[in-house]
Amino acid sequence: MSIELRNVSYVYSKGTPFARPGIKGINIRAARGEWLAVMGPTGSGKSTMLQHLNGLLKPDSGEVLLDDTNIHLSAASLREARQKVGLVFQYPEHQLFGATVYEEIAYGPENYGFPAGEIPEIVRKAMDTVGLSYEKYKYRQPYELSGGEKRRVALAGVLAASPEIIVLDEPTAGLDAIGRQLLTETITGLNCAHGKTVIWVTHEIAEIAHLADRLLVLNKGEVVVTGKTREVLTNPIMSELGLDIPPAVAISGELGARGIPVRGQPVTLDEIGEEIIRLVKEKL
Amino acid sequence: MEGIVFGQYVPGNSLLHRLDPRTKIIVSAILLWLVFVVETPAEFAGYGLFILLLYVIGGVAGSFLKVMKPGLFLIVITLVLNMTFTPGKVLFNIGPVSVSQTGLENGLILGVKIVYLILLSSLVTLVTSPVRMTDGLEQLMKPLQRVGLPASELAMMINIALRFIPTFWEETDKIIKAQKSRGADFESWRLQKRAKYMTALLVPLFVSSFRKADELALAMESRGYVVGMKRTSLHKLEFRAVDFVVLAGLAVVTGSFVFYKYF
Repeated sequence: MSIELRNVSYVYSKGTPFARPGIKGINIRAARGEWLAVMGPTGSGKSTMLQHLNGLLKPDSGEVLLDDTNIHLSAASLREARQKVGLVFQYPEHQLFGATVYEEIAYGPENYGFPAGEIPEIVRKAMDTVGLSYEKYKYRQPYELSGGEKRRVALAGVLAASPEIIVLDEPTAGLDAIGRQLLTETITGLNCAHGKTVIWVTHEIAEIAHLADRLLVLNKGEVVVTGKTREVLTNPIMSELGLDIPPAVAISGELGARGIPVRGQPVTLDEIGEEIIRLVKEKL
Repeated sequence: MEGIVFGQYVPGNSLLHRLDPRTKIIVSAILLWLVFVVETPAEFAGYGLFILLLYVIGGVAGSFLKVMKPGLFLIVITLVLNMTFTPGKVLFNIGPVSVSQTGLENGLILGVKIVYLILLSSLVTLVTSPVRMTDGLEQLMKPLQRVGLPASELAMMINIALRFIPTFWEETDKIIKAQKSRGADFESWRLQKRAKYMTALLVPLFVSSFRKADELALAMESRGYVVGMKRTSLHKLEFRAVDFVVLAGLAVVTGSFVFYKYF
Protein backbone atom coordinates (compact mmCIF):
# COMPACT_ATOMS: atom_id res chain seq x y z
CA MET A 1 0.00 0.00 0.00
CA SER A 2 1.16 3.51 -0.68
CA ILE A 3 0.34 6.52 1.41
CA GLU A 4 0.40 10.15 0.46
CA LEU A 5 -0.19 13.49 2.11
CA ARG A 6 -1.13 16.04 -0.52
CA ASN A 7 -0.75 19.67 0.46
CA VAL A 8 -1.89 18.99 4.03
CA SER A 9 -2.22 21.87 6.52
CA TYR A 10 -3.44 21.79 10.07
CA VAL A 11 -3.91 24.48 12.73
CA TYR A 12 -4.25 23.63 16.44
CA SER A 13 -7.05 25.20 18.55
CA LYS A 14 -8.65 26.88 15.58
CA GLY A 15 -10.67 29.98 16.32
CA THR A 16 -9.30 30.53 19.82
CA PRO A 17 -6.61 32.91 21.08
CA PHE A 18 -4.41 29.82 21.47
CA ALA A 19 -4.37 28.91 17.76
CA ARG A 20 -0.97 27.81 16.48
CA PRO A 21 -0.02 26.24 13.17
CA GLY A 22 0.81 22.53 13.26
CA ILE A 23 1.84 21.80 9.68
CA LYS A 24 1.66 23.84 6.50
CA GLY A 25 1.26 22.44 2.99
CA ILE A 26 2.95 19.11 3.59
CA ASN A 27 3.51 16.81 0.61
CA ILE A 28 4.90 13.34 1.19
CA ARG A 29 4.49 9.99 -0.47
CA ALA A 30 5.69 6.57 0.59
CA ALA A 31 5.33 3.73 -1.93
CA ARG A 32 4.71 0.10 -0.97
CA GLY A 33 7.75 -1.41 0.72
CA GLU A 34 9.50 1.93 1.01
CA TRP A 35 11.20 3.01 4.24
CA LEU A 36 10.89 6.69 4.92
CA ALA A 37 12.78 8.36 7.77
CA VAL A 38 11.53 11.67 9.21
CA MET A 39 13.64 14.12 11.18
CA GLY A 40 13.08 17.60 12.53
CA PRO A 41 13.73 19.71 15.63
CA THR A 42 11.26 19.56 18.52
CA GLY A 43 8.00 21.26 17.56
CA SER A 44 8.61 20.90 13.85
CA GLY A 45 5.28 19.15 13.32
CA LYS A 46 6.48 15.55 13.13
CA SER A 47 3.86 14.14 15.49
CA THR A 48 1.14 16.29 13.92
CA MET A 49 2.06 14.90 10.52
CA LEU A 50 2.00 11.31 11.79
CA GLN A 51 -1.47 11.73 13.24
CA HIS A 52 -2.76 12.62 9.80
CA LEU A 53 -1.52 9.35 8.33
CA ASN A 54 -4.22 7.25 9.99
CA GLY A 55 -6.86 9.93 10.25
CA LEU A 56 -6.54 10.84 13.94
CA LEU A 57 -6.38 14.45 12.83
CA LYS A 58 -8.38 15.71 9.89
CA PRO A 59 -6.49 18.17 7.71
CA ASP A 60 -7.88 21.72 7.46
CA SER A 61 -6.91 21.61 3.82
CA GLY A 62 -5.33 19.00 1.61
CA GLU A 63 -5.86 15.26 1.31
CA VAL A 64 -4.60 12.06 2.87
CA LEU A 65 -4.54 9.31 0.25
CA LEU A 66 -4.23 5.61 0.94
CA ASP A 67 -3.69 3.81 -2.36
CA ASP A 68 -5.00 6.98 -4.03
CA THR A 69 -8.27 6.98 -2.05
CA ASN A 70 -9.06 9.83 0.34
CA ILE A 71 -9.30 8.30 3.82
CA HIS A 72 -11.83 10.89 4.99
CA LEU A 73 -14.31 9.89 2.28
CA SER A 74 -16.50 7.84 4.62
CA ALA A 75 -16.57 6.21 8.05
CA ALA A 76 -15.60 2.93 6.40
CA SER A 77 -12.58 4.36 4.59
CA LEU A 78 -11.42 6.00 7.81
CA ARG A 79 -11.76 2.71 9.65
CA GLU A 80 -9.78 0.97 6.94
CA ALA A 81 -7.05 3.61 7.23
CA ARG A 82 -6.88 3.09 11.01
CA GLN A 83 -6.31 -0.63 10.48
CA LYS A 84 -4.00 -0.47 7.46
CA VAL A 85 -1.82 2.25 8.93
CA GLY A 86 -0.41 0.98 12.23
CA LEU A 87 0.67 3.91 14.37
CA VAL A 88 3.15 3.28 17.18
CA PHE A 89 3.21 6.31 19.46
CA GLN A 90 6.15 7.61 21.46
CA TYR A 91 6.59 5.52 24.60
CA PRO A 92 3.75 3.19 23.59
CA GLU A 93 4.25 1.14 26.76
CA HIS A 94 2.57 3.98 28.70
CA GLN A 95 -0.67 3.06 26.98
CA LEU A 96 -0.83 -0.58 28.03
CA PHE A 97 -4.02 -1.50 29.90
CA GLY A 98 -4.55 -5.24 29.48
CA ALA A 99 -4.52 -7.59 32.45
CA THR A 100 -2.45 -10.01 30.38
CA VAL A 101 -0.13 -9.70 27.42
CA TYR A 102 -2.58 -11.78 25.38
CA GLU A 103 -5.50 -9.46 26.12
CA GLU A 104 -3.40 -6.44 25.27
CA ILE A 105 -2.34 -7.76 21.87
CA ALA A 106 -5.77 -9.19 20.99
CA TYR A 107 -7.40 -5.75 21.52
CA GLY A 108 -6.73 -4.45 17.99
CA PRO A 109 -7.82 -7.58 16.08
CA GLU A 110 -10.96 -7.82 18.24
CA ASN A 111 -11.87 -4.18 17.60
CA TYR A 112 -11.37 -4.61 13.87
CA GLY A 113 -13.68 -7.63 13.92
CA PHE A 114 -11.20 -10.35 13.01
CA PRO A 115 -12.81 -13.82 13.33
CA ALA A 116 -12.64 -14.87 16.99
CA GLY A 117 -11.23 -18.30 16.11
CA GLU A 118 -8.22 -16.79 14.37
CA ILE A 119 -7.24 -14.34 17.11
CA PRO A 120 -5.01 -16.69 19.17
CA GLU A 121 -3.01 -17.46 16.03
CA ILE A 122 -2.77 -13.75 15.15
CA VAL A 123 -1.54 -12.94 18.67
CA ARG A 124 1.02 -15.77 18.52
CA LYS A 125 2.32 -14.48 15.17
CA ALA A 126 2.56 -10.89 16.40
CA MET A 127 4.46 -12.03 19.47
CA ASP A 128 6.80 -14.13 17.32
CA THR A 129 7.48 -11.11 15.13
CA VAL A 130 8.61 -8.99 18.05
CA GLY A 131 10.55 -11.87 19.64
CA LEU A 132 8.33 -12.71 22.62
CA SER A 133 7.61 -16.36 23.29
CA TYR A 134 3.84 -16.95 23.15
CA GLU A 135 3.81 -19.72 25.73
CA LYS A 136 6.04 -17.88 28.13
CA TYR A 137 4.45 -14.44 27.96
CA LYS A 138 0.77 -14.74 27.03
CA TYR A 139 -0.51 -14.78 30.63
CA ARG A 140 2.06 -12.42 32.08
CA GLN A 141 0.91 -9.01 33.31
CA PRO A 142 2.27 -6.19 31.16
CA TYR A 143 3.17 -4.18 34.27
CA GLU A 144 5.65 -6.75 35.56
CA LEU A 145 7.66 -6.76 32.32
CA SER A 146 10.84 -4.80 31.69
CA GLY A 147 10.74 -1.55 29.72
CA GLY A 148 12.04 -3.23 26.56
CA GLU A 149 9.56 -6.09 26.84
CA LYS A 150 6.67 -3.69 27.41
CA ARG A 151 7.61 -1.77 24.30
CA ARG A 152 7.63 -5.01 22.31
CA VAL A 153 4.19 -5.91 23.67
CA ALA A 154 2.93 -2.50 22.56
CA LEU A 155 4.47 -2.97 19.12
CA ALA A 156 2.92 -6.45 18.86
CA GLY A 157 -0.43 -4.87 19.77
CA VAL A 158 -0.18 -2.64 16.71
CA LEU A 159 1.20 -5.34 14.40
CA ALA A 160 -1.61 -7.74 15.37
CA ALA A 161 -4.08 -5.66 13.38
CA SER A 162 -1.89 -6.57 10.34
CA PRO A 163 -1.18 -3.05 9.10
CA GLU A 164 0.35 -2.55 5.64
CA ILE A 165 2.03 0.67 6.66
CA ILE A 166 3.88 0.92 9.96
CA VAL A 167 4.38 4.39 11.39
CA LEU A 168 6.70 4.74 14.38
CA ASP A 169 7.31 7.87 16.47
CA GLU A 170 10.79 7.66 17.98
CA PRO A 171 10.43 3.94 18.64
CA THR A 172 13.87 3.46 20.17
CA ALA A 173 13.79 6.39 22.62
CA GLY A 174 14.65 5.27 26.14
CA LEU A 175 15.62 1.71 25.18
CA ASP A 176 18.99 0.13 25.93
CA ALA A 177 21.35 -0.92 23.12
CA ILE A 178 19.97 -4.46 22.89
CA GLY A 179 16.37 -3.25 22.92
CA ARG A 180 17.13 -0.77 20.15
CA GLN A 181 18.81 -3.39 18.03
CA LEU A 182 15.98 -5.91 18.50
CA LEU A 183 13.41 -3.32 17.51
CA THR A 184 15.33 -2.20 14.44
CA GLU A 185 15.75 -5.82 13.36
CA THR A 186 12.03 -6.51 13.81
CA ILE A 187 11.09 -3.57 11.62
CA THR A 188 13.77 -4.41 9.04
CA GLY A 189 12.29 -7.92 8.81
CA LEU A 190 8.78 -6.59 8.27
CA ASN A 191 10.05 -4.16 5.66
CA CYS A 192 12.22 -6.61 3.69
CA ALA A 193 10.36 -9.91 4.04
CA HIS A 194 6.79 -8.65 4.05
CA GLY A 195 7.07 -5.50 1.98
CA LYS A 196 5.57 -3.32 4.70
CA THR A 197 5.94 0.39 4.20
CA VAL A 198 7.77 2.00 7.13
CA ILE A 199 7.65 5.61 8.26
CA TRP A 200 10.06 6.14 11.14
CA VAL A 201 10.47 9.40 13.03
CA THR A 202 13.79 9.70 14.82
CA HIS A 203 16.41 11.94 16.37
CA GLU A 204 18.96 9.13 16.11
CA ILE A 205 19.30 8.81 12.38
CA ALA A 206 22.52 6.77 12.78
CA GLU A 207 20.38 3.79 13.79
CA ILE A 208 18.56 3.60 10.49
CA ALA A 209 20.60 5.67 8.02
CA HIS A 210 21.60 2.49 6.14
CA LEU A 211 18.03 1.15 6.19
CA ALA A 212 15.86 4.10 5.22
CA ASP A 213 15.41 4.69 1.51
CA ARG A 214 14.49 8.30 1.86
CA LEU A 215 14.81 10.98 4.51
CA LEU A 216 12.43 13.86 5.03
CA VAL A 217 13.37 16.86 7.15
CA LEU A 218 10.68 19.02 8.73
CA ASN A 219 11.06 22.42 10.31
CA LYS A 220 8.36 24.76 11.60
CA GLY A 221 5.64 22.60 10.08
CA GLU A 222 7.08 22.53 6.59
CA VAL A 223 9.15 20.07 4.56
CA VAL A 224 12.63 21.59 4.32
CA VAL A 225 14.33 18.91 2.28
CA THR A 226 13.56 15.41 1.10
CA GLY A 227 15.52 12.86 -0.94
CA LYS A 228 17.72 9.78 -0.72
CA THR A 229 18.85 9.35 2.88
CA ARG A 230 22.55 9.39 2.05
CA GLU A 231 22.23 12.58 0.05
CA VAL A 232 20.08 14.47 2.52
CA LEU A 233 22.47 13.62 5.37
CA THR A 234 25.30 15.54 3.67
CA ASN A 235 23.09 18.60 3.25
CA PRO A 236 24.35 21.51 5.40
CA ILE A 237 20.74 22.16 6.51
CA MET A 238 21.14 19.28 8.98
CA SER A 239 23.62 21.11 11.15
CA GLU A 240 21.82 24.42 10.64
CA LEU A 241 18.74 22.87 12.25
CA GLY A 242 20.88 21.27 14.97
CA LEU A 243 20.01 17.74 13.85
CA ASP A 244 22.39 14.88 14.59
CA ILE A 245 24.07 13.21 11.67
CA PRO A 246 25.71 9.76 11.84
CA PRO A 247 29.40 9.86 12.88
CA ALA A 248 30.33 8.26 9.56
CA VAL A 249 28.82 11.18 7.65
CA ALA A 250 30.63 13.66 9.90
CA ILE A 251 33.94 11.86 9.34
CA SER A 252 33.41 11.84 5.55
CA GLY A 253 32.70 15.53 5.72
CA GLU A 254 35.89 16.21 7.65
CA LEU A 255 37.94 14.11 5.25
CA GLY A 256 36.36 15.87 2.29
CA ALA A 257 37.16 19.26 3.82
CA ARG A 258 40.82 18.16 4.06
CA GLY A 259 40.87 17.31 0.36
CA ILE A 260 40.45 13.56 0.74
CA PRO A 261 37.53 12.48 -1.44
CA VAL A 262 35.38 9.76 0.17
CA ARG A 263 33.46 7.48 -2.16
CA GLY A 264 30.00 6.00 -1.82
CA GLN A 265 28.49 8.25 0.87
CA PRO A 266 29.11 5.97 3.88
CA VAL A 267 26.62 6.26 6.75
CA THR A 268 27.65 3.44 9.11
CA LEU A 269 30.93 2.99 10.95
CA ASP A 270 31.51 -0.25 9.03
CA GLU A 271 31.15 1.57 5.72
CA ILE A 272 33.41 4.45 6.65
CA GLY A 273 35.90 1.97 8.13
CA GLU A 274 36.14 0.09 4.86
CA GLU A 275 36.43 3.32 2.93
CA ILE A 276 39.27 4.53 5.15
CA ILE A 277 41.09 1.19 4.74
CA ARG A 278 40.68 1.54 0.99
CA LEU A 279 42.00 5.11 1.09
CA VAL A 280 44.98 4.11 3.21
CA LYS A 281 45.80 1.18 0.91
CA GLU A 282 45.59 3.52 -2.09
CA LYS A 283 48.19 5.84 -0.48
CA LEU A 284 50.63 3.01 0.24
CA MET B 1 -10.41 16.68 23.28
CA GLU B 2 -8.90 19.71 21.68
CA GLY B 3 -10.58 22.99 22.55
CA ILE B 4 -11.45 22.08 26.12
CA VAL B 5 -9.80 24.82 28.11
CA PHE B 6 -10.03 24.61 31.85
CA GLY B 7 -9.52 27.47 34.22
CA GLN B 8 -10.57 29.58 31.20
CA TYR B 9 -7.99 32.35 31.94
CA VAL B 10 -7.76 34.80 29.03
CA PRO B 11 -4.39 36.55 29.12
CA GLY B 12 -4.62 40.32 28.85
CA ASN B 13 -3.57 43.61 30.33
CA SER B 14 -6.84 45.26 31.31
CA LEU B 15 -7.48 47.11 34.56
CA LEU B 16 -9.07 43.95 35.96
CA HIS B 17 -6.09 41.81 34.92
CA ARG B 18 -3.72 44.16 36.73
CA LEU B 19 -5.62 44.28 40.02
CA ASP B 20 -4.17 42.38 42.93
CA PRO B 21 -5.74 38.90 43.09
CA ARG B 22 -6.69 39.52 46.74
CA THR B 23 -8.67 42.58 45.69
CA LYS B 24 -10.44 40.53 43.05
CA ILE B 25 -11.29 37.72 45.47
CA ILE B 26 -12.67 40.15 48.09
CA VAL B 27 -14.59 42.19 45.52
CA SER B 28 -16.09 39.11 43.91
CA ALA B 29 -17.14 37.72 47.29
CA ILE B 30 -19.01 40.94 48.04
CA LEU B 31 -20.51 41.16 44.55
CA LEU B 32 -21.68 37.54 44.83
CA TRP B 33 -23.38 38.40 48.12
CA LEU B 34 -25.03 41.42 46.49
CA VAL B 35 -26.75 39.09 44.00
CA PHE B 36 -28.89 37.97 46.91
CA VAL B 37 -29.67 41.52 48.00
CA VAL B 38 -31.09 42.88 44.73
CA GLU B 39 -34.87 42.43 44.42
CA THR B 40 -36.76 44.70 42.06
CA PRO B 41 -36.63 44.34 38.25
CA ALA B 42 -34.91 47.73 38.02
CA GLU B 43 -32.21 46.62 40.43
CA PHE B 44 -31.74 43.38 38.51
CA ALA B 45 -31.41 45.22 35.22
CA GLY B 46 -28.94 47.70 36.72
CA TYR B 47 -26.88 44.93 38.24
CA GLY B 48 -26.84 43.01 34.96
CA LEU B 49 -25.57 46.09 33.13
CA PHE B 50 -22.92 46.55 35.80
CA ILE B 51 -21.69 42.96 35.28
CA LEU B 52 -21.62 43.47 31.51
CA LEU B 53 -19.62 46.65 32.08
CA LEU B 54 -17.10 44.67 34.16
CA TYR B 55 -16.71 42.19 31.29
CA VAL B 56 -16.09 45.05 28.89
CA ILE B 57 -13.51 46.63 31.22
CA GLY B 58 -11.80 43.24 31.54
CA GLY B 59 -11.66 42.91 27.77
CA VAL B 60 -13.44 39.55 27.96
CA ALA B 61 -16.86 40.60 26.66
CA GLY B 62 -16.47 37.87 24.04
CA SER B 63 -16.76 35.26 26.76
CA PHE B 64 -19.93 36.79 28.23
CA LEU B 65 -22.29 34.21 26.74
CA LYS B 66 -19.81 31.34 26.52
CA VAL B 67 -19.24 31.03 30.29
CA MET B 68 -22.93 30.37 30.86
CA LYS B 69 -22.93 27.20 28.76
CA PRO B 70 -22.02 24.77 31.56
CA GLY B 71 -24.73 26.27 33.80
CA LEU B 72 -27.47 26.30 31.19
CA PHE B 73 -28.89 22.95 32.31
CA LEU B 74 -29.13 24.15 35.90
CA ILE B 75 -30.86 27.37 34.85
CA VAL B 76 -33.44 25.58 32.71
CA ILE B 77 -34.18 23.00 35.43
CA THR B 78 -34.63 25.78 38.02
CA LEU B 79 -36.97 27.67 35.76
CA VAL B 80 -39.08 24.61 34.86
CA LEU B 81 -39.34 23.28 38.42
CA ASN B 82 -40.30 26.65 39.85
CA MET B 83 -42.81 27.37 37.13
CA THR B 84 -44.64 24.06 37.49
CA PHE B 85 -44.45 23.25 41.17
CA THR B 86 -45.33 26.60 42.73
CA PRO B 87 -49.02 26.97 43.61
CA GLY B 88 -50.75 30.26 42.83
CA LYS B 89 -52.84 32.03 40.19
CA VAL B 90 -52.73 29.88 37.06
CA LEU B 91 -51.35 31.73 34.04
CA PHE B 92 -51.64 29.02 31.39
CA ASN B 93 -51.62 25.25 31.00
CA ILE B 94 -49.29 23.05 29.02
CA GLY B 95 -51.16 19.76 28.88
CA PRO B 96 -51.75 18.61 32.44
CA VAL B 97 -49.14 20.99 33.80
CA SER B 98 -50.24 24.41 34.92
CA VAL B 99 -47.91 27.36 35.25
CA SER B 100 -48.59 29.82 38.06
CA GLN B 101 -47.70 33.48 38.07
CA THR B 102 -45.70 33.29 41.30
CA GLY B 103 -43.96 30.22 39.95
CA LEU B 104 -42.95 32.00 36.77
CA GLU B 105 -41.72 35.01 38.74
CA ASN B 106 -39.80 32.89 41.24
CA GLY B 107 -38.29 30.81 38.47
CA LEU B 108 -37.19 33.86 36.52
CA ILE B 109 -35.70 35.57 39.57
CA LEU B 110 -33.81 32.46 40.62
CA GLY B 111 -32.69 31.81 37.06
CA VAL B 112 -31.32 35.33 36.69
CA LYS B 113 -29.57 35.03 40.05
CA ILE B 114 -27.86 31.82 38.94
CA VAL B 115 -26.81 33.53 35.71
CA TYR B 116 -25.33 36.43 37.67
CA LEU B 117 -23.51 34.08 40.05
CA ILE B 118 -21.96 32.20 37.13
CA LEU B 119 -21.04 35.43 35.33
CA LEU B 120 -19.37 36.94 38.40
CA SER B 121 -17.41 33.91 39.48
CA SER B 122 -16.31 33.21 35.90
CA LEU B 123 -15.14 36.78 35.51
CA VAL B 124 -12.55 36.32 38.26
CA THR B 125 -11.06 33.22 36.62
CA LEU B 126 -11.19 34.90 33.21
CA VAL B 127 -8.98 37.80 34.27
CA THR B 128 -6.73 36.13 36.88
CA SER B 129 -4.01 33.65 36.06
CA PRO B 130 -4.32 30.49 38.18
CA VAL B 131 -0.94 31.05 39.79
CA ARG B 132 -1.82 34.56 40.95
CA MET B 133 -5.17 33.32 42.10
CA THR B 134 -3.62 30.71 44.41
CA ASP B 135 -1.07 33.27 45.62
CA GLY B 136 -3.97 35.53 46.53
CA LEU B 137 -5.88 32.72 48.24
CA GLU B 138 -2.79 31.76 50.22
CA GLN B 139 -2.32 35.34 51.44
CA LEU B 140 -5.98 35.66 52.39
CA MET B 141 -5.90 32.35 54.28
CA LYS B 142 -2.64 33.22 56.07
CA PRO B 143 -4.28 34.63 59.23
CA LEU B 144 -6.10 31.30 59.66
CA GLN B 145 -2.75 29.54 59.98
CA ARG B 146 -2.74 30.61 63.64
CA VAL B 147 -5.73 28.36 64.25
CA GLY B 148 -4.13 25.42 62.44
CA LEU B 149 -5.27 25.85 58.84
CA PRO B 150 -2.38 24.73 56.59
CA ALA B 151 -2.77 27.71 54.23
CA SER B 152 0.39 27.36 52.17
CA GLU B 153 0.00 23.59 51.82
CA LEU B 154 -3.59 24.08 50.63
CA ALA B 155 -2.42 26.71 48.16
CA MET B 156 0.34 24.41 46.97
CA MET B 157 -2.17 21.60 46.43
CA ILE B 158 -4.49 23.84 44.44
CA ASN B 159 -1.53 25.11 42.46
CA ILE B 160 -0.34 21.62 41.59
CA ALA B 161 -3.85 20.47 40.70
CA LEU B 162 -4.30 23.45 38.37
CA ARG B 163 -0.85 22.99 36.91
CA PHE B 164 -1.58 19.37 36.05
CA ILE B 165 -4.98 19.82 34.43
CA PRO B 166 -3.49 20.53 30.98
CA THR B 167 -0.98 17.70 31.40
CA PHE B 168 -3.80 15.38 32.34
CA TRP B 169 -5.80 16.37 29.27
CA GLU B 170 -2.78 15.91 27.04
CA GLU B 171 -2.27 12.45 28.46
CA THR B 172 -5.96 11.59 28.00
CA ASP B 173 -5.82 12.84 24.44
CA LYS B 174 -2.74 10.77 23.72
CA ILE B 175 -4.22 7.57 25.12
CA ILE B 176 -7.52 8.07 23.30
CA LYS B 177 -5.60 8.53 20.08
CA ALA B 178 -3.52 5.43 20.71
CA GLN B 179 -6.64 3.36 21.39
CA LYS B 180 -8.42 4.81 18.37
CA SER B 181 -5.44 3.77 16.27
CA ARG B 182 -6.11 0.25 17.46
CA GLY B 183 -9.73 0.32 16.41
CA ALA B 184 -11.43 1.61 19.57
CA ASP B 185 -14.60 3.52 18.83
CA PHE B 186 -15.26 5.88 21.71
CA GLU B 187 -18.53 7.05 20.18
CA SER B 188 -19.99 3.54 20.20
CA TRP B 189 -23.52 3.32 21.58
CA ARG B 190 -23.19 -0.23 22.80
CA LEU B 191 -22.75 -0.13 26.55
CA GLN B 192 -20.60 -3.24 26.80
CA LYS B 193 -18.23 -1.97 24.12
CA ARG B 194 -18.09 1.45 25.68
CA ALA B 195 -17.17 -0.04 29.05
CA LYS B 196 -14.32 -1.91 27.40
CA TYR B 197 -12.99 1.24 25.73
CA MET B 198 -13.25 3.12 29.00
CA THR B 199 -11.08 0.52 30.72
CA ALA B 200 -8.55 0.90 27.95
CA LEU B 201 -8.51 4.62 28.66
CA LEU B 202 -8.74 4.74 32.45
CA VAL B 203 -6.17 2.10 33.36
CA PRO B 204 -3.22 3.77 31.60
CA LEU B 205 -4.47 7.17 32.73
CA PHE B 206 -4.45 6.14 36.40
CA VAL B 207 -1.09 4.45 36.08
CA SER B 208 0.44 7.53 34.52
CA SER B 209 -1.13 9.87 37.10
CA PHE B 210 0.29 7.85 39.95
CA ARG B 211 3.67 7.74 38.26
CA LYS B 212 3.59 11.51 37.71
CA ALA B 213 2.56 12.18 41.32
CA ASP B 214 5.39 9.99 42.55
CA GLU B 215 7.94 11.69 40.32
CA LEU B 216 6.70 15.14 41.31
CA ALA B 217 6.92 14.34 45.03
CA LEU B 218 10.50 13.14 44.58
CA ALA B 219 11.42 16.17 42.49
CA MET B 220 9.94 18.53 45.10
CA GLU B 221 11.70 16.82 47.97
CA SER B 222 15.01 16.76 46.18
CA ARG B 223 14.64 20.51 45.73
CA GLY B 224 14.12 20.97 49.43
CA TYR B 225 10.35 21.14 49.79
CA VAL B 226 9.39 20.47 53.38
CA VAL B 227 5.78 20.53 54.55
CA GLY B 228 5.21 23.30 57.06
CA MET B 229 8.40 25.18 56.24
CA LYS B 230 8.05 28.92 55.77
CA ARG B 231 8.45 29.74 52.10
CA THR B 232 8.94 32.98 50.24
CA SER B 233 7.29 33.82 46.98
CA LEU B 234 8.90 34.77 43.67
CA HIS B 235 6.12 37.15 42.74
CA LYS B 236 5.34 39.29 45.76
CA LEU B 237 1.78 40.48 45.79
CA GLU B 238 1.48 44.18 46.33
CA PHE B 239 -1.56 46.34 46.87
CA ARG B 240 -1.22 49.36 44.62
CA ALA B 241 -3.13 52.62 44.65
CA VAL B 242 -5.69 51.29 42.18
CA ASP B 243 -6.48 48.36 44.50
CA PHE B 244 -7.24 50.74 47.36
CA VAL B 245 -9.37 52.90 45.07
CA VAL B 246 -11.39 49.87 43.92
CA LEU B 247 -11.84 48.55 47.44
CA ALA B 248 -12.79 51.98 48.79
CA GLY B 249 -15.17 52.55 45.88
CA LEU B 250 -16.77 49.18 46.49
CA ALA B 251 -17.17 49.92 50.19
CA VAL B 252 -18.89 53.24 49.47
CA VAL B 253 -21.23 51.84 46.79
CA THR B 254 -22.13 48.69 48.74
CA GLY B 255 -22.52 50.63 51.95
CA SER B 256 -24.89 53.17 50.45
CA PHE B 257 -26.84 50.46 48.61
CA VAL B 258 -27.32 48.45 51.81
CA PHE B 259 -28.21 51.62 53.71
CA TYR B 260 -30.82 52.52 51.07
CA LYS B 261 -32.27 48.98 51.13
CA TYR B 262 -32.51 48.41 54.84
CA PHE B 263 -32.76 51.78 56.57
